Parts: sequence; C-alpha cells; structure tokens
Amino acid sequence: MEPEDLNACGESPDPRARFLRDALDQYEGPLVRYTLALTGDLETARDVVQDAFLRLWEQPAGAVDGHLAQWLFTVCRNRALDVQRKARRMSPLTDLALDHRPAPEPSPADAVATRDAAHQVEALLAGLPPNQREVVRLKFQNQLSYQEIAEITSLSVGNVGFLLHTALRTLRKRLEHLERETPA
Amino acid sequence: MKLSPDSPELTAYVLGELPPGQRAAVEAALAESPELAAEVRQLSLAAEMVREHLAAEPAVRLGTGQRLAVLRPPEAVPEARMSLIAKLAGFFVRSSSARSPGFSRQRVSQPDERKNLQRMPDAAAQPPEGGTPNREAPHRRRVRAPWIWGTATAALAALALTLTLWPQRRAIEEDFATLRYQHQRTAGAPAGAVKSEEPLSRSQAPVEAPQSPAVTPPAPATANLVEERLSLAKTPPPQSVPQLQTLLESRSSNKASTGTAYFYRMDPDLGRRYGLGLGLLPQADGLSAANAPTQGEEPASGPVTWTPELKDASRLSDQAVSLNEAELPALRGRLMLGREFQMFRGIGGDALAESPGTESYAPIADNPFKSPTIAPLSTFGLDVDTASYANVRRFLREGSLPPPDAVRLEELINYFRYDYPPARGDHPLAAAVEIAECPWKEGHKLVRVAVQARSVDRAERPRANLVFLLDVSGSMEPENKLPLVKRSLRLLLDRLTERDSVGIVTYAGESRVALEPTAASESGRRRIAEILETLRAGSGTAGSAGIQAAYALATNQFIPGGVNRVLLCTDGDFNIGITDPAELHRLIEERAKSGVFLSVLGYGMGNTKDSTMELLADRGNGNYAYVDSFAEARKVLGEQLEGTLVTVAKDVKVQVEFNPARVRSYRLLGYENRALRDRDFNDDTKDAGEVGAGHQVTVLYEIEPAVPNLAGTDPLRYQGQGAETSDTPPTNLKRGHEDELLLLKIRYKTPEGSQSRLMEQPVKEVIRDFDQASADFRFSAAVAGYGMLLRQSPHRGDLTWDRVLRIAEQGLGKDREGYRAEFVDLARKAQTLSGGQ
Repeated sequence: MEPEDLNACGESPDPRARFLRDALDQYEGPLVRYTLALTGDLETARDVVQDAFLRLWEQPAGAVDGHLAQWLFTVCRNRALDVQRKARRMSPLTDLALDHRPAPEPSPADAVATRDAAHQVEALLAGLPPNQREVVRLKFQNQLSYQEIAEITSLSVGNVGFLLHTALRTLRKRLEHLERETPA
Repeated sequence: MKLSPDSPELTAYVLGELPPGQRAAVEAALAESPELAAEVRQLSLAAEMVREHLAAEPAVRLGTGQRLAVLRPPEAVPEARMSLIAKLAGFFVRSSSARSPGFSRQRVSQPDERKNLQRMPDAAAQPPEGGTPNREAPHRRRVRAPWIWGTATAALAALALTLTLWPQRRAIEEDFATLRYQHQRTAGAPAGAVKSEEPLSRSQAPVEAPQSPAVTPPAPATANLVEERLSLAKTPPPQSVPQLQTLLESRSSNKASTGTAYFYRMDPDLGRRYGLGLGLLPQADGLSAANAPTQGEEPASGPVTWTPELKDASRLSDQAVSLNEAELPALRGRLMLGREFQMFRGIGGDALAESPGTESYAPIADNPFKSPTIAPLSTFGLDVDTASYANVRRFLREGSLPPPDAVRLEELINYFRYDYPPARGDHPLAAAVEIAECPWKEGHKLVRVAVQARSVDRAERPRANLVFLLDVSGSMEPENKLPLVKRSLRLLLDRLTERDSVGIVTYAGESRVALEPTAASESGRRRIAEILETLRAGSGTAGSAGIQAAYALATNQFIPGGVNRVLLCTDGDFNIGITDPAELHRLIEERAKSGVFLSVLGYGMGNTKDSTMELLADRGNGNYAYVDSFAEARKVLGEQLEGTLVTVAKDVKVQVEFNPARVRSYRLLGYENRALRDRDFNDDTKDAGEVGAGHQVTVLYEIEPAVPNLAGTDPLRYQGQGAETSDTPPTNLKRGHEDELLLLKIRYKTPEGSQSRLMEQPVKEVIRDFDQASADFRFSAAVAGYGMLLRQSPHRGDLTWDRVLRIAEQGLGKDREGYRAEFVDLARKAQTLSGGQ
C-alpha cells in the first residue's frame, strides 16, 4: 500500500490539471457540504463530489467556462439524487424523495430551549421543507444567483424566487417570535 | 407595482436579484408603505443571520485518496475513438440512443430528463475500477428540432456500429492472440455459422466404444475462432425472458452451436460486469424445465459455449426487476448469474429465495462442458472462502437438505487440509497438478490443481492492527450469535501480543466505539476481554455507519507492512442505513485500496445473508467464514488465524488453456461465481480473490478426452492402431505440444503490489486409475461428489451416495483434526435425508 502524499502530483504545467486543482480547492468543501445536506451521509457525499470532479476532467476545455459552479452543483445534485433513488428503489425522480430523509439538525422544539442564536437558526432551517432548505443553501451558503439555482434544480426562476421568499418569511417570523420570548 | 408582504419581489430585492427597472419600482413602492419597508428590513436581517450561520458551517473536504484520484489525469480510455463518436451521437440525441444490433444502448427515459445530465452509453470497454465515470455530453445544449437530428442520428448510428464492432473484433482477437495450442485462424475455414449437414455426416464415421452414439462433433472446429465469436456478438440482446428462450431455441436448432449461452451486461454506474448466463442443455424439444436432464441423460457431446458481450447502459434496477419476476422461477436451476447478481436481489426483492426466512443465495447453475476449440481458456479468480461447507453442515445437522444454491463446490473442497507441496522460492504460491480417471464418469478424467500458499510462523506474523466490528443488534441475541462471537474473539485475543492492537466498534441503530485501539499486552487483553463482556444485543442494524467508524479506527492505527484489518462479525442483517449493496461495496473497496482489509465472520442462522457477506469480504480483500460452532471458531481464529489475517497474495487469478488435440471438452467444478473474462486474466485492474498465509486452494476439472483410452482393450477391428475419434481433429493446432493436456497459468500480486506476476506450467497427459491416485485426490473427489449430489448437478454421472462414502472412507488419510471423519458423517446424513441410495 502506497502511503498517499497530498502533494504527490506537485505543480503540474498542464493547464487542465491546474484548472482542476483550482476548481477542487475552491469548490471541494462547499460541494461536499451541499451534497451532504442532500444525501445525509458523508461518505456518499464525498463519492458524489469526487465523481463530479472526475467528470469535469472529461469536459472539453472551455466547456464550463463562466458557469463552473453551476455545472458542479448540478452534477452533484443529480448524482446525489440518483444515489438516493437507487437506495430507495424509486423510479420517478421527485423532490419528494428529499422529504423522506430525516433532518439531521435538532428539532425546533429543542432550539427554543437554547439561548444560542446559531442553534436557533439551525433549528429553524431544519423546520423548513426540504426544497426550500436546498434553495436557501444554494443562495445563502454558496452565493449562487436565482438563474443559476434555477438551472441547477430545474425549477423556473420565478419558482426559485417564490421558494426563497417563503423561506425567508418563515424564518423572519420565527426569529421574531423567539426574540420576543427571549429576555433582552 | 402592487406589492404585498407576500410578494417574492421583496426577497428578490433584498438579495439584489431584481433587474434595474423592477428595482426602481420596488423602491418606489417601499417609499410609500412603511409596513412594506419594515417587512423588507426584517427580511434583510433574517437573510443576514442565515448567511452568517450557513457560512459558519464547516466545509468538509474529500478524503485524501479521493483528492488524489481527481488530481491525477484520467486514465487513457482504450476505445477513445469510440467514445468520441458516442459523445457526438449522444450530443444529437435527447434520450434513448440509437439501437444497434449487438451493441445495445437502451436507456429507460427518466420523467424529468432534463434534470439528469445526458448520460452517455458506455460504448467503450469498461474503464478501470473506481476511476472514470460515464462520459457526459455537455448538458446545456438541448436539442429542439428532432427531424434534423433524426437523420444525423441514423448516420452516426451506422458509423457507431462499424466502429463498435471493430474494437470488439480487436478485443476478441487479443483474447486468442497468445494461445499455446491453437492458431487464431484456420486457413480456408468458412466464416460465420456452419451448416449442420456436414458435421452430421461426419459423425457417421466409425464411433469408438466409450463415446455416446449421438456424437455431434464440434463443427466450429473448422470455423474461424474470431468470426464465430464476432457473429455471436452481433446478436441483438433479448429484452425479456420469452425472447431469451426464443433466441436460445433458435440457436439450439443449429447443431453446430448448441450448448450454453452466456450474456454479460454492464452497468456503468456500478463499474462492474453483470453476468447473466443461461445454461441450456440441448434437448429434442428446446428449453423447458420439465425436460431437464435427469441422471443418466447427458448433454450431447461437444457442446459449445459462446460469450457475446452486450454493453447495455440501461438502469440496473429496471432490467433486473423485469427479469426477476414470475418468469424466472421457470428457469430456476438453469440460470447462472454472475456474482453481482446479489445486487439484483437487493433491488428486485427476494423473489428467488427458497426458504421462508430471510436467507438469500445467489442462484448458481453448474459450469457446463465446454469445447476448447471455441472456448480454449478457462479463467476465474481464486478464492479461499469456506463458508458454504459450514453452512451446509448447519443444514444437515438440523435435519434438512441445504438449498442447492447454498452449495458451492469449491468452498466444500477447500474446507479441508491437504498435503500439498510447499511454496518455495520466489513465488508465495506453489501449484501442482494431479490427473486420474474420473470416478463418476467412465472415460472421463479428473484433473486436480493444488495451490499451496506460503506459511507464516506465529512468531513472524507481522504486527496486527485489528478492529472488531460487532453487530449487537437484537437479532444477535441467541447463544450461537453474540455469545459465540465473544467466545471466538477471546480465542483470537489469546494469540495476540503487545505488538498488536485491538479496537472494538459496535453497531445497532447507531454505531459506537466500544473500545479505542488498545495494545494486546497482558493488561490490555484483560481490558479488551472486559469490554467484550459488557456487550449486549440491542435493536436495529445500521451496517454502514459502523463500518465507517471501524475503518476510521483502523486507519488511525495503521501499521505499514503490518496486518490492518476490520473483522466484521454479524448475522448479516443490514436493516437500516445503506441497504443498496452497491453503495456498501464501493465503500469497502475504497477502504481496501488504502490497505485496510475486511474479513467477514458470519454467525447464526435464519438471518444469514450469505451472498451479501461473501461479496463484502470479496470487496474488502478479505475472506468470509461461517462460524457455526466454537469448534469452527477455533479453526478460523485459532489454527488458521495466520491465514485469516495475513494475505500473501492478492488478486489471484487462474487461467487454463486446454489442448484440443487431447481434450474434447472440459468442465470446471465450482467457481461459478468467480468466473472472469478471458482477457481479465492479464488485466491488473480487475480484482480477484486473496490468499492468506498457509492457505490451500483446490481446483478440479472434469475432462472428456479427445483420444479414447483404449489401453487394455482388444485391438480394434475396424481401425488401425492409435485411432483418433470420429470427429475431424481441429485443423489449427500448433505443433510441438501434442503430449500436453493443458497449460496452467496463475497470476497474483504481492499484498502491497499493483503489478501482477505470472506463473506458468504446461501439464502432460497421464494415464492413471482412480484408485492409484493419492489419498488427498480421492478425498477431494469425494467432497466434489457430495457437493454435486447435494446440488443435484446434471453432471453427476452415475454417482451415488454409496460411492461417495466409499471413496471418502478410503481417502481419510491421517485426518489429525477429525474433519474428514466428520465429513463422512455428514455425507451419511445427507444420504439418509435424500432417501438413501
């Protein structure tokens, strides 16, 4: 077994390789984080992301210029959903598939008890339906535009806007609620 | 603009997503309405909080191995040209690609096609494991004018077809390029299918006594090897079982190529080959379970096998389900499915399970006889699993006959210790071949290949880093499960020293590290034993999370050059977590690549997922043993501990080439689910089994000789001395090896290596009575016979239980541990249970 050295490949003069490396450095973490939210399982998420990058190699040079992030997120999303589907033996792919996955975050009831703002937000996010949650992540965590999110999730831009608005309103209402309950 | 708190424009405004025109309109509206403005402020704050919170969430990286895999340039794909054409073809096609005979690229279209990136059919030969994914057409450009693209598609399809067959031809040619006994092509041989008239007339030539009268010579003997294979490759794949039957019936009417058909299907997602084979023994009225040959009948001599390879990118689950349902039981016993069939089962349900419990076995049909003129090579991976023997023993002890599919011949034979010549010199393996007459078929021979692995002294065993992964789910409560696990592991502990370390991870519903890796010194062992004691059976089983934790522990304590292994002790029921075997396997393979192997110890009954566990061990580069008693535990974790722990050779593959001048047909006993493609033998990226220190592996072939053994008979009246068979001998033989029976080749890799090494040995024919063979030889034949009777194998000839018992008793030898005597007992039991004859 060869102990693997992170820097084994060294600096590659090949522009493709450098491109891949940059893409990896920039998007590896966010992609795994995003995919993890979809699959619920870290190792699966990592496999999916690795797969996506390997496919990036396959793209002809310049094919993803200008929309790299969108491309990567889309590939990860589709693959993650495929994996979920296989695991669940469901043929029609629906966003409902995401519903069955238990939310990893603690329930809203737990959050009320804690004083920590972070926990509160987390709990509130957990309370959102999965499709809203996903869009929230894409927007607020990965800074993607409505248009990009629409492409990634195959929803219309209007749809995306609606989901984000609903989510934000819900969050706002609940945060307000908590604020009132918490002594200043 | 009429806005209300419900309007999505508010959020879009907050997030800066509005085009300038709309933006101005919103601002105007906000200026007029304080409530709206307040709402927008609140939304803004909420957005900030969410952004902050989500930014704080840690971004997780890929594993080291994964990163490296990505950063290395992709491997050169063999049929790169093909894939380019495929890419272009796919570029113009929305969903289902063009159908081309012999090269199937069906896809079941998904309802939301657009969401999935265009998946390219895997046109090329299967790329190496774990690396290259499907080729994707650029996803953005969707096609809108079908009619133009229809024409383009047709043109490209034609081009694709030509280019597909070209690499296939090349591949087939490569298969046969380096044969020892045959030339690839015959001068003046007719290409393609052979007319049936000619061969029949030839069969009227003088027939020698030992052969059966209805001799159909292998007519393809004069055909071009490559052409024959290629013509079969062009056959369109059947879409359903009735079509499959029709196809086989049509071929079976062509006397020249009756026999057995094997189809292989590839699932590019899983990166593995799916073997779907149909055993068809030629009968007068075609394929029908009712006409299954019973004892006494035999396949027409000279049956032939062919292997068209179908590349099929359709979704595994869809195909599997359509094949698994009601139709399949009609083919029961005749259907041979590759090892990966277990995945079909996971998806299609236990449609084929025999017993009411949740036992599951992959159906196996015995390897048929094959003709060396069509299939000169027999290729498979070696394996040292012995679980089937213990499993069968369990059934017999409980008073019932085992389901035929639980009986894996090679595992029965490999259960026993034999006196094989030790491995000396460079190679960690030594192979010896013994030949004698076959005891269950007059005129046939039995060839035994004996492989012995190098031993390792207890003292020189490398340091061990072991993590026990224990199933403590509710189903493990009975005495023969968790309590037996504990006793087994204490046995193992006794043989460890302070150089070794032990960790324990339990899983049931959730995983828990019960013990961090602890050196097995005196006090350490006490502590480990204490922890073992405290374990209780709980509820639920989440297999995969526990495995991750176990691997993590093992990786942390990794000993370079040592034994790093996870030992999974379970009854096989993975109820929660990743139920898809494919995902689990990938997980395990990934870990195995990093040097942490996995061995599986199966305990208990009723819940045993035999096929799952065997596959897990396979993927994990480890072995699978079934522990049904403390005695068995003593064997696996005591006497044969070094074998269980220390691998001396991995990815061990065997390839035998038979000499058509001497071998009319041959049959491999067992190893059905270890079959490899001929060209996989030289392909180092293809996995095979691992062999542990001191292990032995036995391989048996039954041979139908081309030259009848007339020694001791009266001189023939109608023919001169040295008469050949009535068949025309193959005309493309190479000179110089006429007295050889076969060429034995073994490939293996050292445990840390990635390049295989080759051992090669031609074997001369030998005439020897069965009774003159060694005791070990005769005993292993008895075990094979026991297996064949239990499976009701169509090839058992005139074998009876009495005969099996007699042979076994005469082959007992020293039998120090008493395993052979126990075998005789079991055989007697089996005889009684089968109605005794």
